Amino acid sequence: MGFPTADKADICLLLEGTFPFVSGGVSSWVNQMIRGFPEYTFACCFIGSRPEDYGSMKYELPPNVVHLETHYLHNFKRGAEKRPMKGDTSAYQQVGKFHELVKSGKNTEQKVAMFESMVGQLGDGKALSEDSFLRSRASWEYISRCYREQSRDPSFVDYFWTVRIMHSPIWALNEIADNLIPAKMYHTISTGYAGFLGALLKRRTGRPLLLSEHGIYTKERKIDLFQSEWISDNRGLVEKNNAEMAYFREKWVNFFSELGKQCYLAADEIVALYERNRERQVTDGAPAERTHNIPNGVDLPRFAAVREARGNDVPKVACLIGRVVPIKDVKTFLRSMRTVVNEIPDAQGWIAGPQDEDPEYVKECQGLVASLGLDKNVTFLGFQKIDELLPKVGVLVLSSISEALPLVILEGFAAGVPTVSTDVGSCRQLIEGLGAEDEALGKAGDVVGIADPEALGKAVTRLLTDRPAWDAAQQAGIRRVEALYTQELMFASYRNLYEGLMAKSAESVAEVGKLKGHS
Amino acid sequence: MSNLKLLFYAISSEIASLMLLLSDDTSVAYFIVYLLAHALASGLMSVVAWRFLPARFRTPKMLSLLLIFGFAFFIPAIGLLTLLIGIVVGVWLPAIFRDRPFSLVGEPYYTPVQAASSSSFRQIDIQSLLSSPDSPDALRMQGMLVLKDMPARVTGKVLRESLGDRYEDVRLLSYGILDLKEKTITRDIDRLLQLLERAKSSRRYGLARRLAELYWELTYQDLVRGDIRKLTLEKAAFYADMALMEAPQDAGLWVLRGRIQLAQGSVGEAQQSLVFSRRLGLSANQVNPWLAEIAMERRQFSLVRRLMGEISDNSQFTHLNKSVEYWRGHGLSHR
Repeated sequence: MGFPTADKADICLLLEGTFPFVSGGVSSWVNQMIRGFPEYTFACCFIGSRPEDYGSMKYELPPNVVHLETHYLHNFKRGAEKRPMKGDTSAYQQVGKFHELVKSGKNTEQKVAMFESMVGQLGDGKALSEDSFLRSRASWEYISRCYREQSRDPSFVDYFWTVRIMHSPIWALNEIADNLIPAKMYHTISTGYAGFLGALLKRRTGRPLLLSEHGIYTKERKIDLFQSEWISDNRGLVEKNNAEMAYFREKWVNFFSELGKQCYLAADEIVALYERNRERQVTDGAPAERTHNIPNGVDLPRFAAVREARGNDVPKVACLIGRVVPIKDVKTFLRSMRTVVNEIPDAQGWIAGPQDEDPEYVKECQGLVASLGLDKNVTFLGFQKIDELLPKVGVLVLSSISEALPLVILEGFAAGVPTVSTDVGSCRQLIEGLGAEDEALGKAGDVVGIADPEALGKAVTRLLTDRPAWDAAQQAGIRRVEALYTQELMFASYRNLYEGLMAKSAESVAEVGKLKGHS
Repeated sequence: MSNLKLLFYAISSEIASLMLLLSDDTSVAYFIVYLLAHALASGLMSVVAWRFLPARFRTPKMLSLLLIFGFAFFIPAIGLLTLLIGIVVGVWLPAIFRDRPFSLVGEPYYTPVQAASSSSFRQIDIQSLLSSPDSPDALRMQGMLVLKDMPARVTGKVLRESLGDRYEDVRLLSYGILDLKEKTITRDIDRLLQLLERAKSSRRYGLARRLAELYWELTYQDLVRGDIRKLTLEKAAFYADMALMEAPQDAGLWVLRGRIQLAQGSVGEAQQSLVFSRRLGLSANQVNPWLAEIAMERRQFSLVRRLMGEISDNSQFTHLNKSVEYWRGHGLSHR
């Protein structure tokens, strides 16, 4: 069955590696949002790495999704025409000046104007076309000059190809922007490539751009890049300063930081899930006056029914709900189960989440279960329907090393399940409360440090064996989610934003119409 | 077969066929043999000539080959000669006049570009840098990069403290560093466990010894803690015992066994293992530091003095020299 297509939509969602092809917290949120606004039509523009990295759709498309298109940035079959050309030296001089401004770290008007001008020259036959970047003498001379002046790595070949590969998605995104159906506004769920596409679209169409950032994309990329082993460092032993990042690593980090910055600068409104992430966005270049906090919210009636399905006993089950990927640190959960089982021999540890994203990691986790002697206590359940799973769970466990405001904790609270979580993102705020009023609602579980299996195991054991403490935590969770994290509160905040931006969009159309009328 | 060989066979066959043709014998059989030899020469020549054709003339393959073969076969001797000249001219002439898309460039040179001085890392104590609330986050991240390349045994404590850092990037990076180090060892363990499962008895000793070392490494590098540390030490002891069953004379393994027992808190057993390793021939330099540690734990200071005194000056434990000096001095002052 093909994807739905339309020639226009109210809101175009820019989705990088998420809904509807990848399941997880962000995808669930996107699904929830689309269904929460049936009065608007949505177009979904999915951006992925390669087609083979994704399976079939993990979500049934809501009826108000009128258009879905998919694009893969690492599908190198596109390619520009293979012919040498002279190129426009002045255009590359402008690129050089832009890079100087990027390096200075200042967000000046001049930089914004330059970006807008460069974006206009990316198309075929223009001064900064892909063909010109890949095959013109002007481009070659610019790249080799940059290498001589800036590179701290002795390999020109690596430099040349790094620059080419790093920038190639820009033209792919430009092509997507060229062909995307018109929308009244754009809504990107991350910075990165999708965010940059949003910036391109905003600069071209003048239509408003809304950014809702769950995790901080730039930060996560930066950590990936710090740890990655595929980036070469050709410096010899004596050239190396181990406090200095490998040149290419630094180059990639800067590239993603700049992509993020361009998205922040172009966005009309910027949403974070909680205050610390909002502050981070401002530090990373987001204009503070455009930032807001809108926490996630859950569908309370739905989860009240799930709560009803629970029995009176607390099942001796600790459950991690999430994809089996390194960022969830499933290994720490498994190790913590050793501590739990030492105290409660019949305790069960469940991992409920898709296992297709990182098969190597899944294998490592399964090996760890065997080596910890937990074969009888730990089960990998795969993807589960949360409504059916939560009534069988005693404690929800989140061992992640990075999170924002995990929807799963709120869903657990609403379903009457306390949580033990690592101290990441807003988990402490969710479990212990933020501010006197919130804290007075009580602790809905426990918070421990990251990568500390023993503390995690002890906290889980405590909750599973201390019934009064468990009851208190359950009640605190229910009270907190009912007071602060309802779907209605979230939708109301977004309705304000959508309506404001739609009005802005209509104004800009009227403005353009007026100008055309005069001319 | 190479073109040169084919060419040689083609020319030889053609010469042979010409000799047959020019011989006095005029029988039909001789003529047929001539035709066969000439056909062979033409065939071989066709293959060589076809290979030298520009790509656009090589298709369709069969027809193109047939055309060359016809030329060579129906014009005896001269056809072949013409093809030969054609090949030579076709290969050499364009090579002489080809306008190469290359030009002479100067020797490559590279002058390393220094990083901006503002981002250079000051040589200060990393631990205080990381824990100081006044240090800029960018500088602390640089500090983490230094830790990345240092042995986990030395950096384990700092990295673990950084897991609770106020700045998330530092937390994530320290997690990543610890995780990578742990993963490297765990992968080796998994691989060896698989090998051990299907190993012949002759290989079991080596594999078990390596497994004991790897499990020990996890605890020695401070990569596992709490219940998992306990479990890891049990595994290290299990594989050390397995290896010792196969090779009870392995003195080095007895030292490892002793150190594992020491980490497990079995001081008496550790002492026995270490003493046994000495009996098997290991020097005082290699074993006495651990024996001295046990004696120290038991507050047997004179024994510590004696054990440390036995360590020679050229001990491999350079960081131990100060302790050795101290105990020797201490011993003298009490004499």
